[in-house]
Amino acid sequence: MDAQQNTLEIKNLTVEYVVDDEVVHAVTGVNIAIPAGRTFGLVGETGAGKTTTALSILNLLPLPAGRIVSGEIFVNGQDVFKLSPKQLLAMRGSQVAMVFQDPMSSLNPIKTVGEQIAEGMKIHRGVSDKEALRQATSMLEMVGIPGDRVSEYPHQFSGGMKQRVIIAIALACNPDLLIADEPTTALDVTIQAQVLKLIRELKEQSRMAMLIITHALGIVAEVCDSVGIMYAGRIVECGTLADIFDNLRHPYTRGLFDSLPDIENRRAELKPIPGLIPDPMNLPPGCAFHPRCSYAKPECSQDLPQVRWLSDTHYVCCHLYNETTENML
Amino acid sequence: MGEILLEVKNLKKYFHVAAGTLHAVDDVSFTIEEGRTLGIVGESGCGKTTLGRTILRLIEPTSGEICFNGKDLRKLNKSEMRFMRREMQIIFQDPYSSLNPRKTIAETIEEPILLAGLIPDSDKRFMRVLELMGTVGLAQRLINTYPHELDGGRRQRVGIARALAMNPKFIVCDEPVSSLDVSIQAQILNLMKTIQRDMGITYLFITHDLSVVNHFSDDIAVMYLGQLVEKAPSETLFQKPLHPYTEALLSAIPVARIHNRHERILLKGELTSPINPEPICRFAERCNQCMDICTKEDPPLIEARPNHFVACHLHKPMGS
Repeated sequence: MDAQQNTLEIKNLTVEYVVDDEVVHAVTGVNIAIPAGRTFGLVGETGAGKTTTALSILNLLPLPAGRIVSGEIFVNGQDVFKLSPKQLLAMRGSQVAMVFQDPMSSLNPIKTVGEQIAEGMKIHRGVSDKEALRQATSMLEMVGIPGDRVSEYPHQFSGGMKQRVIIAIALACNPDLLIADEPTTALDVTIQAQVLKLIRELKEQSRMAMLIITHALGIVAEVCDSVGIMYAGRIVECGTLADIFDNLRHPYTRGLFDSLPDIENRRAELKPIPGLIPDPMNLPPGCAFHPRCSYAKPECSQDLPQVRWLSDTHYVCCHLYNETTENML
Repeated sequence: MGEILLEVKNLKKYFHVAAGTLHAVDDVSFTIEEGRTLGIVGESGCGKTTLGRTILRLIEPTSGEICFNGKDLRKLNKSEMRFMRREMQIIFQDPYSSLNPRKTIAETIEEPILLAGLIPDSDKRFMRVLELMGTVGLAQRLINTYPHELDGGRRQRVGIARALAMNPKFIVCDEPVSSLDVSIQAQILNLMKTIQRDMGITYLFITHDLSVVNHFSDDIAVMYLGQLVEKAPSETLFQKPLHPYTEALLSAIPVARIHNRHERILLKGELTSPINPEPICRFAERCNQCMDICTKEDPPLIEARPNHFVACHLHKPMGS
């Protein structure tokens, strides 16, 4: 695939953390491509490697523990790992912006929200203080907060409004790529609905590419175009919304859907995935999911399943599809 | 239909804060029948946790009655209440902070049995701990581990085992699965259902997660700013919600499917302050069906349809 046509392209990314001489295999062989104007949802449970993948894009891994072992990441065709620290600084916050999970701790408590939104515009665009504040006011209004609150401090805002402020900061420099790490997890459901609506509107209005990290399939269904399901550091299934929601193939993806209560049928039994997520320091051989998988065959505990393309948009990594592309679940 | 195990009447809990009186729980009344589950849903700050704790008198109510098994808990003295607590237990939200980090799993589960003096013989007590660990699906090899060695799902199992140690009739479950991953959440919910079926336990299930509460509860009560605004059997509430807040809440659930999606009712604004609320409908400011009367009178909770209670001026009591 041509790197130029995608806003974000992650190729074969492998990231490790070294903790007490032991190696944590956080992310292994991850490929993600997001064209301009599209939204990709990265789904997985705690410790699957979603956040590590996101942090790698801006080279924000915690040092010295985090280490990019191999792989390339292109933003607008530029290889992020080949950029100088200065070029990287210029990219962060302008071409690529990030929204973190916890709106309570990602704002500076002693600066007004206006100053915080204006900061990036002053640094990256070189606009004057006065102009930056004027633009900050209109950014606030765009995310649905009255502009006259621009000189208030974070503690004067509620959780949902803080998350809007953070989105305004992220969007201030018109980024080409927005990375949102669990953007609504800390919010109440009615407020979450407001923020999701805002994200959908942004999508319609701009050509921005988005990477949304979440554990909730309901949120994916709402805002994403394509989805990658991550388990123990690898993407085990990837496809468009229709591929994953109507035609899922991986037993883990099936398990995730079966674990969710059915809102239409409250008597339907939950079918949890047995067992626990493996210790990333000590991953099982072969397919990391095999100890929890009810379809596991002998080869699953020996060989790593290879990527199997089922269509132009849909792939799965599972030994069930070695010989067939028929649905085996 | 079973007998009524818990009856809460006009329960109030006010906190005095610098800015005035915070109405955390304001005139809440409901009943739960033995062996059933009442789900309490609401957003952060609606008073659902305070309600759960006030029922157990972990927080003293400001006024109202809590009748458990026919006894008014507020009339019990300290030692009577302590005895009563054997029958009413609680499972906390955060399995990371609700277990003593310096006690092993066995010690944590054994502690309530020891304190109540239920099983004086230490060998028998140990057997009981093993039995409880089996009930909640904890492997025996974990008996000498400490909480930090366990993942969230296992810790929550320890919390459940400790609550079951007294053979309680009633358990307040305060967001027992919200800090867990979905695959583990499903394991814990299934475990709690099995325990209820086997032991006939009655649950008060507090959560903000509407799809979980629908799956888990027989009846659901919706709270908004300290008040109970609607209560009905789960099916009825989900199919025919009467209160505009419940409607908006239900429509806001992100559903994991891409077809047949419903139109969403988006609420304006956010929760108003529970401090010194005016005697009007507390939802009026955000309601898209607000009428004149809503900003003048606080609607009482009425039975609008059989077994379906709502506090909203849009609805009239049955037969009126």
